[in-house]
Amino acid sequence: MSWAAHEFENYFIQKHAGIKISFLGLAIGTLSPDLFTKSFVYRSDDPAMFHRGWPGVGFSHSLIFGVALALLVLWATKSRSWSLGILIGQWAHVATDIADTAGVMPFFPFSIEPVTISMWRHAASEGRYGDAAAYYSSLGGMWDLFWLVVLVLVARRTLSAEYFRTTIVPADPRVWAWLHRRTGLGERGLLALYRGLCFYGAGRMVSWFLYARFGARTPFQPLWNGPSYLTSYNDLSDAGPLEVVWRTTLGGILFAGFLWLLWRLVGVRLWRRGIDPPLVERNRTFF
Amino acid sequence: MPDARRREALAWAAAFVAYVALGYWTKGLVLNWIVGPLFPLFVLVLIPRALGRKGSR
Repeated sequence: MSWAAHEFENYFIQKHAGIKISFLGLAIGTLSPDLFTKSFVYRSDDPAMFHRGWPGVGFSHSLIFGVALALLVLWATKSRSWSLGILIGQWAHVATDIADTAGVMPFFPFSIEPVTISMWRHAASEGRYGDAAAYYSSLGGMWDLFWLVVLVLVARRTLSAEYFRTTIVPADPRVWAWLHRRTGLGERGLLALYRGLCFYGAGRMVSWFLYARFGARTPFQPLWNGPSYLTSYNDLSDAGPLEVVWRTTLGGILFAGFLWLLWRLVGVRLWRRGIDPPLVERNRTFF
Repeated sequence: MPDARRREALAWAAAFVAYVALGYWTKGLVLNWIVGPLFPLFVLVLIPRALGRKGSR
């Protein structure tokens, strides 16, 4: 799992998608796989299996979960920018979580084989604090830092008041206007709300890193498959690389077929009755 | 950098230091997905606004 990269990725994605996707949708999509499951993970007998496997709540880290959420939101709100935001955010979360040893089941239920590159160890079995200390002693912490650097170098403009005014609000005018009306917040308040996710990611990264160094005093071991002071790998599969590739490829093909069918039967109808933000309607260039 | 922007940047930096210190101290109490993203809104906008109203009464 990533502790802060999920938050930073949103701004990077938003920079490339512009007014076609809602930032709030994107943020909820990114948070969705862990939103209601994370607190149960630490209380589980086998946290890695419960979090990412099957049986367990590992389906929340599959691509189909994002598709289901996106379709549900498109049906309920007719908002294309929210639906796309949720889909892209959730898929980005799934892609990022491939990096730890527990991996994800991207093509669930067509393949329940976990896909992982084992960059750092899934450490939820250590409890919440132990997990944080292990993460910020491994390449996981470096991964967060990498995304923060990417955000600063490539997408820092997305944090400006002007970007908020010209892109974030026009991508989602109804919800920002509603927030303004209901809460009485002016632009400065809404901007603080928008920047909050980046603030949270950076603050969380620094706090837990300091905790790992000076509180838990765990050894800093940012090497592949680290930190090595943990005794457990928490790899959910015993399958060899070829077996993983075969099962995942088959699952991917079946998932693609299912997605095509779902789009033809349900998605296209919901999409056609969906509504774009007014600015996208006026300058239709993508869809 | 104009004065207003400098003041704003300083306020954000101070809020960040406060959040990190509180986070290190209380951990899960503020380092969670509810308090974390709302922290700057409360510290930089809502609390100063409430204090300003109280002071003007």
